[in-house]
Amino acid sequence: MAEADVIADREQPASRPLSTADILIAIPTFNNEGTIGPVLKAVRAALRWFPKRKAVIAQVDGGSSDSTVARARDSVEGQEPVLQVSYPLYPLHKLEVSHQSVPGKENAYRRIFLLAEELGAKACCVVGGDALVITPDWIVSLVQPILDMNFDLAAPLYQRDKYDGLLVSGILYPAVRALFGKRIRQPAGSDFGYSRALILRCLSLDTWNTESARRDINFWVSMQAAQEDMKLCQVHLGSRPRVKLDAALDVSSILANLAGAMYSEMERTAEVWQRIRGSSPVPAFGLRFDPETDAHLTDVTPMIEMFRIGCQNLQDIWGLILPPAAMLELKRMSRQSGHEFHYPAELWARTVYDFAVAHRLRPIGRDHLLRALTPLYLGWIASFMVRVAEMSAGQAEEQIEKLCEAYESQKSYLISRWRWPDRFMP
Amino acid sequence: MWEQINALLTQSSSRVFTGIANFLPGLLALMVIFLITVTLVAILRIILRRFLRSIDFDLRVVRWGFPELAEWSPRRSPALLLIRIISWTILILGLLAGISALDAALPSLLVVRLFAYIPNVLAALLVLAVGVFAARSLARNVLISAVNMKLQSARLLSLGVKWMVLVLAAAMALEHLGIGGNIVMLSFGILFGGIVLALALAVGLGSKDMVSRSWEQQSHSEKGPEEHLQHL
Repeated sequence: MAEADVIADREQPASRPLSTADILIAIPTFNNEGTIGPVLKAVRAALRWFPKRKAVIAQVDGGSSDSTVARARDSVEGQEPVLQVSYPLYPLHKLEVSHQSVPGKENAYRRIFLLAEELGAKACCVVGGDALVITPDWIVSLVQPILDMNFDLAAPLYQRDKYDGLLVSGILYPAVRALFGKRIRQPAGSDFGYSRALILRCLSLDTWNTESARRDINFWVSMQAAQEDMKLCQVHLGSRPRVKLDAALDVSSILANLAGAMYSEMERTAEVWQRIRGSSPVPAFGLRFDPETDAHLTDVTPMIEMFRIGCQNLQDIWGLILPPAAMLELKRMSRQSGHEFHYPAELWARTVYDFAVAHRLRPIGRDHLLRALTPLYLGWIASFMVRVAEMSAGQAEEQIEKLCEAYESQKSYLISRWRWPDRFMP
Repeated sequence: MWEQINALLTQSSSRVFTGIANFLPGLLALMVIFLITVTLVAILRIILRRFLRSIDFDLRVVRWGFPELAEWSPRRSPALLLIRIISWTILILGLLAGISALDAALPSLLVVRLFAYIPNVLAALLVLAVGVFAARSLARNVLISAVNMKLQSARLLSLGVKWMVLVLAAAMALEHLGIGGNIVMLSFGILFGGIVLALALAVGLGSKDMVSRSWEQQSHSEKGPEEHLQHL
């Protein structure tokens, strides 16, 4: 079993020099009293796979008001201790409506990375403290490629049904792939493995407080790895049961956060992605599980209805963002009946790109802009769900692949619009 | 008798000519001041236009978070709006300075009163400008939120909010200008109350079913199908 460091100092975690460690397993938590115990148990079991490595387990808590911290402490009684650390947390962080499970997660990550640097850890694995089901294999799978194969980022590949993760499948994955040429299927998530090189690279950046880092820190770190030509890999982790999100969090907020993070990063790295053409696969490890087969079609009528309401009411706002040809296409789509409703892949890719250009030019406020994307996103979801209703999960994945190709083929359109935005608008 | 008439005529024409002679330098001064002002404005316009273009003022205004300003500017250029505001302010100030040079009691009094009134006008303009921006921003916010809540009457709601804020801003501006007094306040109260009542009736009667459905959904914590999907 791995030798674990004996440190338990919550208030002043770095007040005395820490000894070194090969592996740091960090668990960001916030009111996770129900899940922290099993997560820690899985982490300890995983460390048995690395008997010759020295490891540190750190719980990074975002000011839990329940018994998360106490339970974590109690659950390790008589076994290797957990380093419990806090991080700077401001009232604003607690007021934020975010899809991220921990308030001020960018500060939590910065704390984790600083700790990894201080320990001289060769591999750092971050797993969500809110995981309803987590097995030791997950942690082993995320750490091993970093330790033994010199990868810099190990991204998760979850087993999910064809209707799950559509924001990732419809926007993040295809856009990141087209922009940076790396096929990372899950650029945003909760469970990742990071190398020392990537951690040092991130710590050297002064963009921790930028919009993209604040909106989704996991996505931000993945973007740094994708841009810096680092070695990326993916690991099959199996199914990740749903985590109950904040009741105040609706589709519009999740979309605004993720799309906003991506658009901000696009603006910052415009010089990089404009030079990249095509994309290359990222190696995947681990056992590939068969996708769940019991996915049943959700009623898409309300989503199409919302798309139509958007078409009727948001013409003026969309007119500031989308070129006239796209507006005509959308109008035509709004007249389609439910079963023939189809959002063409090329048009959807151009829509996402048009919003990226508008995010940069700000013809309207950014919050308004991102929320005005919601009816279009739901329109695309409805179209995709209708299209893949009779397909297997594998065939649905082929449709995502075609969408990615559309994003890649439309990249020249994005570059033209980015460089000469006025040419496309009257 | 003719001598007396002649003397009277001479005196009156002399008074007229003296008056004209006294008035002419003032008029000349007014024209000179006005010409200098016009020349100054023309030069200033050229300098300002070049300077604002060199710093990409239109783009900066958008980046500073005022994208709506472009929509309210002539030819969608906030720089042009700024140039026009500065030009007209200097022209009016020049004209007032010229009028005071006439040294006539009435124009001078007018100038003094006008200058005393300027702070009120500026405050009213500021209130109106803030009101217009707030109205547009709030209306857009309500429109997008209402669409995302699948409300069919999103545009109506947005218009209602926009006009409520505009009416409030206009009433406040008129109060600053001292126009209307209590009548404006009373009219505002009636109009504002009317809009609220109209909206309440529209929602309460026109959208009765939708409201009851919405309450029903809230009470049962029901969400749309899109909320049940795992997007990430």
